[in-house]
Amino acid sequence: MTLFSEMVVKWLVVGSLVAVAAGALILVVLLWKDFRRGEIW
Amino acid sequence: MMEGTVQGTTVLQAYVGWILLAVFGVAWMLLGVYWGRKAKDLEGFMLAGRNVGLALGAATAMATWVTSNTILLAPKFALQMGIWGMLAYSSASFGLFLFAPMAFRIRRLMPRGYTSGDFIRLRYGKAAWRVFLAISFVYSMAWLVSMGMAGGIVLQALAGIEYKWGMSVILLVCVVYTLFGGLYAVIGTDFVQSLIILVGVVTVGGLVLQRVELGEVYQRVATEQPTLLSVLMPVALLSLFNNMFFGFGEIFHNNVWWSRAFAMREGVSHRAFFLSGLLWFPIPVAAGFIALASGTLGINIPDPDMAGPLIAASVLGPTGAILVFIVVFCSLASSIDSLLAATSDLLTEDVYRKMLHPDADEERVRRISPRLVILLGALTWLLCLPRLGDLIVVLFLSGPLVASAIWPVAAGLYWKKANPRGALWAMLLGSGVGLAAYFSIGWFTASLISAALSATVMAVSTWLAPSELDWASLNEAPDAWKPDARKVSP
Repeated sequence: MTLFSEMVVKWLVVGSLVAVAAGALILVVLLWKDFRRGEIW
Repeated sequence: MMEGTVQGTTVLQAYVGWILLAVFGVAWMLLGVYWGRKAKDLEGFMLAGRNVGLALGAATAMATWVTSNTILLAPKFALQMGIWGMLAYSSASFGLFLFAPMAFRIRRLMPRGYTSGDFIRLRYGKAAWRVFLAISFVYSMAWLVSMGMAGGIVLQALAGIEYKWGMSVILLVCVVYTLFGGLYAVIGTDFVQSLIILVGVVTVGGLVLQRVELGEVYQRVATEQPTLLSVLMPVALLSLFNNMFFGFGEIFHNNVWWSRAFAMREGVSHRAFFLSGLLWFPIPVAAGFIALASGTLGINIPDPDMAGPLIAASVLGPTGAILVFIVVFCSLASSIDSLLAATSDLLTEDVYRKMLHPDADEERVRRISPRLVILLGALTWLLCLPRLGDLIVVLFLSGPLVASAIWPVAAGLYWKKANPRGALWAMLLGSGVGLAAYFSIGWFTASLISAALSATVMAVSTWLAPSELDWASLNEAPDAWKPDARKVSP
């Protein structure tokens, strides 16, 4: 049976956590930009 | 005193759970009522004034799609199907990516549209519209009930709050702020909830990583359960495609997503949906991987549905339990409110106004809409009360139904020749055969079979009898749907 390598699994897990954290940051930045343009809603 | 270890299934004392419920419940209701002051007319209540920007648009799509099922089933998938199980769950985000261009087209073709039902009625006629509404209602109720049940189960497991009380409070909070604020309240609270979910998932995952060595987890799983790391795991691969098609069906057909496409400012919807897909994709892996560590940590998981909360609470103590509690509460609220709003829109616009009371004026419809939110909340509560079935059963039973709507919706948006009668039969046959496959073969095939049959019926019927559509007919003038509209108009 061929298994995912340890390196792939580590990258998958750590990469996912970093991506989720980046997502939160992106939302805050976008809200700030919308706010400055008066385009929140 | 809070308990930091798993004792039976309770990881927090009940009063801590009640405090958290009270704090967040009151916060959502106050915020909802505050933002809801903008909802002065029907369009404001149902579609937040059709002017939602990119940040709120992306956040609401992402938060709605992060359900309690995402937080609870992703670890379960990891526990049972390993790496591919988590990736299978992540594939549900592909629906958001594909809906991005569709949202752009929906906004352009139907600038005055209200619901997904409007599209099916204008595109395929009343028979297909009724079948579509039935599918949509069954699915929305299944989603609502699965989340109401999940709320009750998680609160009981984490804090010992009796199932019926936890479930009732969560539903009540969501009904109250949706009732007062409509889509303004839903989208506003969704933004705050999406930030809490993202930060909560990262915090729990990061803290678990500090306490366990990933290499050690890998070695243990590779030795004891190598199939979880297998590059080829047939059931997991099937579930990946099944989840993907289930996700397509859920997003393409449901008014939750259409109402957001109508609500976003022109030029925003496609970017918001694409971004929401990017934000959503890593969440099942980030929330699910901790289940793989259960063996290394020596944690016994009596109920796979509770794998995530149990592991977080065992490893992180009260902090983990509180974090999971808050994340699950936010993910529940962000989806329940959206479903209450979008499904009550369908009932208001399609059933009450266009099917039963075509003469009702806007003021009357505006008064009816909140009452339907209450009715929907009450129906959900009644169905949740007996606590029937497994979470995954409730969720996936509706899979073949919604998968049958993928092609009628997609073809209807892009293919002028799509046959209306074919769309009707695609939904009927896809749903019927898909349900038969669900019971005779397994849940992981039902959506695939339904979508494949629906596509075939759509293609063959259109090939045999192509229709010709004027796209402009989808931009329906106000009141043009009324039975006597043709007689009155010049």
